[in-house]
This record gives sequence, structure tokens and C-alpha cells, in this order.
Amino acid sequence: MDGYGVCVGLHVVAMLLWFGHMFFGTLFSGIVIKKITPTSTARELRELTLMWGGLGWPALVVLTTTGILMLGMRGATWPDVLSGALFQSRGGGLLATKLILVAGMVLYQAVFGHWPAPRAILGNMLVACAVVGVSVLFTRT
Amino acid sequence: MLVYVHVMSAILLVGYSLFWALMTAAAHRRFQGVPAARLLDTLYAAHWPPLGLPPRWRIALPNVVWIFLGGLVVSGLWLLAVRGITLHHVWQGSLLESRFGQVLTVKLLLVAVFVINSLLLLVGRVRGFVHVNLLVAVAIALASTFMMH
Repeated sequence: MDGYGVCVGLHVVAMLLWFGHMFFGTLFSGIVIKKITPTSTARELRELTLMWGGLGWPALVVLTTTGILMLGMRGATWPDVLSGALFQSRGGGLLATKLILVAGMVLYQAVFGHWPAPRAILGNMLVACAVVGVSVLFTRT
Repeated sequence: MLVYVHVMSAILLVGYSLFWALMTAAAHRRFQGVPAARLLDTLYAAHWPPLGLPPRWRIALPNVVWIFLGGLVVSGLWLLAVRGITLHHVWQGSLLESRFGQVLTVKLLLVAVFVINSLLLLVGRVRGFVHVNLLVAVAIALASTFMMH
């Protein structure tokens, strides 16, 4: 496997772990734990879910690093990015869309983190779904 | 759309595996012996969704893995059919003639390991198995990446 393949593998694994943790935690385990009785047990379980910290920032470090490396390996340069030339093609347009969506997720991470904010969490998950969709389209360009 | 469903199912499968690995490790780290087992038993016995469906329609939280695997298997088989690959190619062994087929075979074997491991987890909750499940789920993802690259 070449360097590009290694970057793709790390990029995908980081995304799967981060988004998987988010989606399963919000849609499945989180709502189940909330309804467990007695409330002391629910509280203990909730504390366990937070014991290892969040995955957002570590995943973003890996995703950003591998993303930049992959763009470089595909021949993109900083002048291409800054001038906007990189985003002129269909693939570039999809990449621009993805980067804007990811910026939204970074904003959510910075503002809300693990605070209870149901609407923001739902919005963040919808954005994550869109990131996956755009990524799937991007790999086909 | 099929690829999207396949990827989303994979995301949920990895999330599921990660959840149980983290919770098992956290419970045994925070508590020892019976209290850790008690907490995990409560989690294993919890049902999803907790509201909105009659109790008889709810499934035990560990069993949601079969929903994700179902999504992966259905979308995966459909994607293979679109590529002209059928179960006949699998039984015949002609799948191994191409690099794509070889990696796909490895991926399918890993999925089989995941299924067997998940069944073993449901029968007897051996602590190490949850971590094996997570490693296998990540390996399946890497195999998929390698397959497409």
C-alpha cells in the first residue's frame, strides 16, 4: 500500500470512529441510558460514557492532516487553494462543499462540545450525514 | 445511494463496536468485579428504542447490531450485483482471480468473523470479545478502503 492508500485508510477510520461514536451515542445508547432506572444507575452509565473523553478533536486532527496530505499527493498546491482554482472542477466543487460542512462541524465542536444541546446535536448529525454523502460523490470523481 | 447506505451502516457498526469496547473497559476500570458486571448487565438488558414502540417490538441494545449488519449485507450484495459479481462467483472461487476479488474475499471473511464474534458475545459476555469486535470492524473498513483504492 502506498502513502496515499495509508492516508485514505487513516482518514476513513478516523471518520468511522468519530461519526460512529456520534451517531450510535445519540440515536441508540444515549437515549437508552437516559431511560434506565434507577436514575443512579443511569447516572453511573452516563459517567462511564464520558470517561475516555471525546473523539471530535483527535479525529479532526487526523482528518485534517490526512486530508491535506492527500490533496498534496493529488497535485494540489497552496496557490491552487488560495486562488480558488482547486475548486473549479466538479471534484473541486464537491471538496469545497465538504470543507464548508466540516467547518460547520468544527464550529459545533468548539461551541457545544459535549454540552446538552439537542437541536445543535441534531444539526451536527445532519451535517455529518451530508459530509458522508459529499465524500461518497467526491470519491467517484 | 447504495454506497451511501453501505457507508452509513458501516459507521453505525463501528460506533456500536466502539461503544461496547469503551463501556466495558470503563466499567472494569472504574469498578471491580460485581459492580462492573452489574452495570454492564443493566446495559445489556436495556431495550431500544426506550419509547415510541410497544415493549414487544423493542430489541435488546446488543441486538441492534443485526440491523446494521442487515443494512451492510443487503446494500453490499446489491452493489456486487451491480458490478456483475454474484454468489456463484464466490462459490466457484473465480472471485480470487482479481485483486479486487481477493480483497473482497478477505473482507467477507472478516465480516464472518464479526458475525460469529457477535453471536458469541450475545451468548456469553467474554470481555476480550468486545475489543476483538472493534478491531475486526476497523479491519473491515480498512479492507473496504483498500478494495476501492
